[in-house]
Amino acid sequence: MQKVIVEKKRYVDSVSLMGISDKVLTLAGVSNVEAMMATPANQALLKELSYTLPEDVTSNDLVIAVTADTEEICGAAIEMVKNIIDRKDVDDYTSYNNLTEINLQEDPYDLCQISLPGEYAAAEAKKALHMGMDLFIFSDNVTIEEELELKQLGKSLGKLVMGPDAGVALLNGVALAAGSIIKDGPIGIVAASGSGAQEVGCIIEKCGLGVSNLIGTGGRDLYPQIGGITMIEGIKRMEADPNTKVIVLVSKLADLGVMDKVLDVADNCTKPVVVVFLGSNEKLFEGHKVHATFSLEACALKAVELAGGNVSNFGMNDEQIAALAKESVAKLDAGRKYFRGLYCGGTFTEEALQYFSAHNQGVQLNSNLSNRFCTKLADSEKSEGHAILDLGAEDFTAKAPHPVFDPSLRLARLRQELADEEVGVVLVDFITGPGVAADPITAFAKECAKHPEIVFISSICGSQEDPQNVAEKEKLLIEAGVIVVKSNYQSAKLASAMMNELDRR
Amino acid sequence: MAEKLRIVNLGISSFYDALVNQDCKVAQIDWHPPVKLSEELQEQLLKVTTGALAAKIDEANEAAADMVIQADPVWIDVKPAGEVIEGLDDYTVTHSGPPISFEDMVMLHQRGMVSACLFEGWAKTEEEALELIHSGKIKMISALDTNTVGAGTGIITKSVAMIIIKDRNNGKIAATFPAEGIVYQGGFCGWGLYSEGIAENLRHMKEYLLPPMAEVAKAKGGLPIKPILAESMVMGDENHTRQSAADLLFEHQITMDMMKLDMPRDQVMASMQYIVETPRFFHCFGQGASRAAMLGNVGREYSTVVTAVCGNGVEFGIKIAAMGDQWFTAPAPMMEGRYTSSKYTIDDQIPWCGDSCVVECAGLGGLAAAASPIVCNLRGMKLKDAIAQTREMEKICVKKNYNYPIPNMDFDFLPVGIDIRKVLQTGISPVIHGGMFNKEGGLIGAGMARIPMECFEKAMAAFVAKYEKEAV
Repeated sequence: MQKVIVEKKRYVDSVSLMGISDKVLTLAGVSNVEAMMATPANQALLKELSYTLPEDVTSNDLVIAVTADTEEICGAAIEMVKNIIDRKDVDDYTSYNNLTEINLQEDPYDLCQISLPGEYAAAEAKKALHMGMDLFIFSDNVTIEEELELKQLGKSLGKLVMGPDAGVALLNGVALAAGSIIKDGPIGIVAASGSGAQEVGCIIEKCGLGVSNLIGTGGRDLYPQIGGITMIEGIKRMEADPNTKVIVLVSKLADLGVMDKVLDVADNCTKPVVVVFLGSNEKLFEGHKVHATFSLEACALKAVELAGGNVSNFGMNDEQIAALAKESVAKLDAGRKYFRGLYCGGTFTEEALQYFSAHNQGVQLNSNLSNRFCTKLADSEKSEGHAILDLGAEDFTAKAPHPVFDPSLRLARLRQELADEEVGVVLVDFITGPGVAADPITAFAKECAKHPEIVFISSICGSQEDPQNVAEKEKLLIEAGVIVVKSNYQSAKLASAMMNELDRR
Repeated sequence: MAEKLRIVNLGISSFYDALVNQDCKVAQIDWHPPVKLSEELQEQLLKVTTGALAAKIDEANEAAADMVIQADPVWIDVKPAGEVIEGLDDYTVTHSGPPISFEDMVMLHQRGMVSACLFEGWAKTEEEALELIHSGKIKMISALDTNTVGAGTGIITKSVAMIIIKDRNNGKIAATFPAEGIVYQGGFCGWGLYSEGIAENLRHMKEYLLPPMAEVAKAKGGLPIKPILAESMVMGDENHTRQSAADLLFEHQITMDMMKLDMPRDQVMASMQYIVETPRFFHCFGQGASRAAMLGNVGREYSTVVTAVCGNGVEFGIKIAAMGDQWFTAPAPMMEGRYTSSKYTIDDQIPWCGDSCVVECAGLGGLAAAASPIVCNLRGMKLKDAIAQTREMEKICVKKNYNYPIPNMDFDFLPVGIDIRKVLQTGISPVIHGGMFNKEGGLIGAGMARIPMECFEKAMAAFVAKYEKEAV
């Protein structure tokens, strides 16, 4: 049977109409479909196909004509044509001004990632929690009171609140913010230190294992005001997660009471827990069951070992490092006597400073940071002696984007250091991931290649799955004469040995 | 591994890209800092967005937008302005923008008033004309208080020949003036200029160049305008600043009819030459079609849809459907864009002058940016920016107009019907496209402006005052 529908004064471009028939003919029982403007030629064509048109039809009218087995199928076919013309068949482009425009019942989302200016982040975060989403807040400048309110609210609603100031996370294989796409595996990480967690995860991957989930808590989670709400919630989630066999906790040194409380929770886990609280010592762990480690690398290797992985021959041993340091420094001109570390990872800077202060006793370590491991530079724009810079710290990021996202600031600083004739050894760290600079490495490799008179040390904190193609970039660095080691800790050990060699000359 | 995470990204757009590249389901929130609304405005908005009143407004706005979507504008004739424009009697002149006194007018309008007196023969010299104007005998009316559109300066007097557009959907008739050829272009009506040549050209148009067109319009039984707008829109026009495709489509539509006319060949040729040579000839048809549709919304109870937007070089004014012909004004904005020559600077420009943004009320021009990346490019925008402009406009409009599927938006439809509630809530002001005027007269560039928020705030206050009793 046949059915004809006329939409008066409805203009649709003939090219758009031509695509419709094929789609509708896929309906079973439909033998012919025509959707056309009723021009004289088209009217003739429709009559030829034995359709009957109303008398008053004109070129400005749209005709939909269908031949099908039954009345019902005709109706369905016409409905389908209309839907295609009205674009109801496609996923409509949706743009939202506001979180609340999303209807989670119809269009579900699990998590809200917030990187708004800090003053606006908390209000939006609260909305997202009430809507029923977990939170990942990259924004900084959120007050500690707001953080506490959000985390308490999240806890009462059974939602995870990562951040504020969370740098990385890896959830169900999806890397957030500056995180790496570390491959799937049995080790779950909960971390209050973004780059620290990233380093642990990437070392695990280098050992052939992977990470189930990585939960970033934000840097202040272990402050006394917050009390480790998210880290404790994270530990519980890892304990409950069947894919996680070993749990890893990462933080910089924080509030002793809170760290102790977190360790109490960890003690109650049935799964082995490996902990690195950078800057802590054995004393903190007295009376706790967890595996205490004191560097990111040691933490990662312990976790790999507990998860049944192989950690032998990871990187260089102490003799190899000593030999390489001696050999490299011997080649330097006598006037080149200083080390410069140009870091983009905050935790990497800290890990290195801690190592140097323990292993380069009596050496003055200059830095833009001010802490017990170093002496603050008079002018952070100008290095003196052995200098270790955190280029992601506020004195630099106030003026330019963070070097993890935009390498230009650090590249300029590298050129400045290379122009200094007293510089002998330079260290640069790299961080990769889908959310950071598209190519953080090539420009540095090219710069290093121009300076065979200088010794370069580097490590790449990244996953083979990251879009930057880490293996290829590592090759570029090696071809440029850069010594690429497997972890930040090893680069610190090597730099430390070289500093000692330099000072001995 | 568990199912892939579905994420809403609120903030840095490169994080959105990173998630898309990981094949996640991601929604990006196009976040803007919250609009700082006065308490008064917050209260007003609450009244018009909740309860029974909101439902009535929604319904009225839907009908107002449908007035454009269902519109069926056809070009039916050419007639002298005095015969078709309401209230355009002897000694009456229209001007663009909201009402303004002669003293407060920009020089372009003041000169236009003098030009009008000279053209109509009400005065023989400029001095006489000024005397006449100061005597109060000349009635100066706002073009958008009638059924015409005052593009540019909008100087229209009874003897000017007008293009007549009838909307067969609502029965309204709008009249717009055609551009004055390749030589005079904006000339008398658009630029308010007067010379013997301009006057002669206007008479020549009326008596010689336009009659063949009138015959064609009649012979065709009216030429539908919407199909031309629709087709030109997929060919790169947004139909405010650019009519390149529409001009060709229009010429294509009338060529055969022109050739068939039983009129002197020289006259038909001259008429054809005038149509073909005149830049952006179709512009007045788009304005007429837009105005006719909007006339159907003037006085529509409960509707907060904008029916008129225009400037007079000093003030900018809008009207909204429910408030009939009441004006809501604010200082006119300066247009941003590019100049025709690098010799021009912002000091040469006057604030927004003209009514042609009536097309934006009907969803063309600034709202249709995605259709015409080339127009947006003159402001240094890329394709994605042009699309973003239309997407932004979507947020302040009532609905989508299925007549205009846009290739650059994967055939999604253009928005239509500017709702002042949404403008105030989102803080997004409508973008209007247009030409820039020199203080001395003449076009010196093209670009865009945003309508001052103050216009919308005033309109909202008046609307709430009118309907407050019905708010819960």
